[in-house]
Amino acid sequence: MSDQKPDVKTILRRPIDCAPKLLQNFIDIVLIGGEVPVANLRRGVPSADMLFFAVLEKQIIGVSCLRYPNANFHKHLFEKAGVPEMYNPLSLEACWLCVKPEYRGVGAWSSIFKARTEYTEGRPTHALHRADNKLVSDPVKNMGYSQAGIDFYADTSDDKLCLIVKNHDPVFDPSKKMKYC
Amino acid sequence: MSENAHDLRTIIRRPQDCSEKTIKTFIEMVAAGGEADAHRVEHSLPYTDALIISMIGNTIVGVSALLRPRTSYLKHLFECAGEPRMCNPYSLESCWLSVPPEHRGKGIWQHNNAAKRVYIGNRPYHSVRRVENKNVADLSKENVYEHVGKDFYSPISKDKLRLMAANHDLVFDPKKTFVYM
Repeated sequence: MSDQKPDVKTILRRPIDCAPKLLQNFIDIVLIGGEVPVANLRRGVPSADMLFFAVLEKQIIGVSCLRYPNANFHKHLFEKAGVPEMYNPLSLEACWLCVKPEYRGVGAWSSIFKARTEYTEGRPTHALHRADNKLVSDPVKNMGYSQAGIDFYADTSDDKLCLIVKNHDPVFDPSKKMKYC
Repeated sequence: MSENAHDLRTIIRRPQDCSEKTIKTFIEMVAAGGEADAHRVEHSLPYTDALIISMIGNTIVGVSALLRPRTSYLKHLFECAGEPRMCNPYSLESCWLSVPPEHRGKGIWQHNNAAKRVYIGNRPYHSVRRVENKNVADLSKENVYEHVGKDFYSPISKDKLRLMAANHDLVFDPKKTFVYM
């Protein structure tokens, strides 16, 4: 038997281009992870910058998202991590990554991560994960992310959290913008 | 106390950063303008990139928005105008401009528009105007826009429409993207 991984593809869709059924499918898969309240997803998914769908043989097996979080929450994270000067309002949050349990280990995570990296090339991004979740922390640090500040507790979770960033300046430079070129 | 137009300011907020009260006022003001009904604005609002809100003191005196339109709708517009090659998937739609009659003539439209242009930078954007609405369809009043193709009728409106675009290449260049610099 071949030990080659199946061919998982990741497609990108802006929420406005998704049918209601596809948005619901996205929400249902994130809910499997059990870390996000459904109300947050219903409110947050439509305003996402981009949704990522890992697809294997026409089945959606995993999802993730890039979004601009609420500015107050976003600032709060960097303050809690002890690096408020790194807060960048243009930074996209990579979040809501979930792969259906029966498809874990087939390459969905890698496929989504690669697509997300290509999409955000050079652009400031950040993500939050549980500090004790080594399954996430070790691989992402090999993919260009670094920890911002220190682990911390926030009102939104019982767990100690770790904030990771990519393409962030040590001190936010307000003269930098997103330019189309 | 009388309102002082010198106190006019325009703020730009992502929808997720607006209070429910601000969102409600925004929807009501756009609907009162008559170009879009409240239900449609409410439905599409989460998909907006930014809401542009002009205020005198704490009173909202004018609004507009930058919408990330559905890809199929965007293509439709440029096809109807006879310039499908100009269609740019990154283009934001400048829409929902509304200034209540009691606040007209105070420079609110100009102020709102100027803030929008600073926010957009060199990003492509477009706007659809009713040809008969001479106040806003007159390109000489907004020299940042160019008239795309020809005026047209579409199933989206019973009125003849004019598509105007800014920062668009004559032929969309798929190599161009957003760079943080």
